[in-house]
Amino acid sequence: MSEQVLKEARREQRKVMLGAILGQRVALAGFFIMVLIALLAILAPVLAPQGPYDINPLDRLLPPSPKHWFGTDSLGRDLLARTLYGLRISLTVGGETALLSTVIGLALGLLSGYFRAVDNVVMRICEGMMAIPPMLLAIALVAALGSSSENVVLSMCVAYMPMVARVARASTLSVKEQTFIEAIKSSGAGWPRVLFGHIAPNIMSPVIVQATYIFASAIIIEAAMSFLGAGVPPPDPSLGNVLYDAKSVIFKAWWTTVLPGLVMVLTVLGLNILGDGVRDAMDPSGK
Amino acid sequence: MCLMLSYLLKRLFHVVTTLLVLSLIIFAVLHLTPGDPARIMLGPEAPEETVEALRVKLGVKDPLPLQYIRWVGNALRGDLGDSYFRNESVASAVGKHLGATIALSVWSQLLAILVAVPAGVYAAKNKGGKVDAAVAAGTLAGISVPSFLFSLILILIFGVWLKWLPASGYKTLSQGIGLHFRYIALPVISLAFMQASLIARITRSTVADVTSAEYIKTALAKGVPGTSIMFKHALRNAFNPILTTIGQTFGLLLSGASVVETVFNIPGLGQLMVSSILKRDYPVIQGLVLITSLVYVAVNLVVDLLYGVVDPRVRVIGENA
Repeated sequence: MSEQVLKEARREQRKVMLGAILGQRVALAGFFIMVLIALLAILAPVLAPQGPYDINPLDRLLPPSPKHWFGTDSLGRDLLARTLYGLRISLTVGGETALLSTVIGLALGLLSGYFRAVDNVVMRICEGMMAIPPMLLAIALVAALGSSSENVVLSMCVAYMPMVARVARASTLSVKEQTFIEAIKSSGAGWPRVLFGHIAPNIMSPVIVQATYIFASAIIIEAAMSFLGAGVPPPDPSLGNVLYDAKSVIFKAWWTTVLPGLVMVLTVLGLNILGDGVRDAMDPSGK
Repeated sequence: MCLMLSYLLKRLFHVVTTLLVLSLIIFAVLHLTPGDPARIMLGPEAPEETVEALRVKLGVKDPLPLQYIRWVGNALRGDLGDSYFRNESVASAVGKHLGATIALSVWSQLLAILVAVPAGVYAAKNKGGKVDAAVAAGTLAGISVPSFLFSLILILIFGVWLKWLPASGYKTLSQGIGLHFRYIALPVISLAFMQASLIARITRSTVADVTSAEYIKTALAKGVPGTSIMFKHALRNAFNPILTTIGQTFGLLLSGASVVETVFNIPGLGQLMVSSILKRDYPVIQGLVLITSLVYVAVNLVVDLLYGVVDPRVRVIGENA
């Protein structure tokens, strides 16, 4: 009988271990995808067969070949070059947006979760901003500020920051009621120590998940904005611009959509897998 | 009941302040915009006197607070001003484009919830199983493929290669239910994919979190049957994060609609928005952002009220605040 239970427990343990390793492996895959993507972006000048702006009217809409791995677009520009340089711009725009909006949003969320007076002001403004769908807000801001990649980052930041603030605030609200916070307070800790030393680490898991989500989603939204004509201004090759150029020729040149699209999906996928890995690593109960 | 009422009043007060902030933001953003509406309307060739006369007529030379009050006052009476380029008022332009967007977003949201919540719960219940892996892979794809790319791929597969469904266009419900769904199927699928993925992910992770909580162990130890634990204990506590996600992603749905409508050439609000942005038709942009946001606020108000219904703690916190 006890033999049976022991066997059962061992099998259960093996399952858990297997799950953990498998989870690690998936996260590792995400990490390697991102390293690969980052290398591709950094080494773009070395890897690209020609400049991303070089126009060759004679080579218009060539299918993939050893000379042009990704084929060429309707102006005869090499699509591999445009995709690699596009990767650079999209990663920069997405990364800057994620970093900026997370830092500001986290600080605002912590403060408004902890102090009711701050809460009333900050959350009212955030609620007002969040009532506008992020992409519409970003598009309206870019239309107002003028289109440049800095303004795209700034606009997306404004659009995403309230989301981080809201997540951080909600978690702060629940963490600050817990007994260990009460214990720390009663042992005489001041609010900065309670807030940044004890509450902040305990709400990092949802905030980091949110940050990677923003990184990935900023890449998608930038692409969608460019696709609608309100993103990084052409002829700069952000992934969105490359796909925008592809839209008009999709029925005669599938590679202009599919190949840069694959690179974009791989990038966002890598980020999302990595984010899930980080989440699982930080939150042992999720395993 | 008294708690519920005070919670309701509190939420309504929040909505009013949110709308106030929202209207200020929209007004500010569009007045930051460089460019002179009168000049845009009449073109660069028009003589200065005509342009000046139009500026006075439009009221763009009045002080900003006055312009804001006039805009809000008119908006409350349903008057959103006139389009610069379309020969109609903003309200009538919106009216003509509303139906398609409502159909698109309602079907997408319904499809997403119906697929995502059961999938997420099942995956959480059978953690590490085949379905869990499939759900994880599917949702990863859903949040990694941008909707316009997914739309284009759907058009290529079902519209061009298989020729099963029309590649673009829109038919209203009154033109025939079958026809309506034939045309709207691909747009709805491409819009619902990301939506469903986000909802399924949050459902899986919150249900998984909740089922590892102490009170679930207690219930298990007491001998409460599995389905009862799932529905009475776990789902009830996992409900709020799921609802939050549904409410929040509704905004994503509304902006996603503008992309999908553009790709499928559907005459909805998104398409109106995009064409207005490209032409810098500010009254239409202003009106559209306002209306979209109102819908979003309404959806989130319903979500907040449902919180209070499902989770008694929220009502009490509402009382103390």
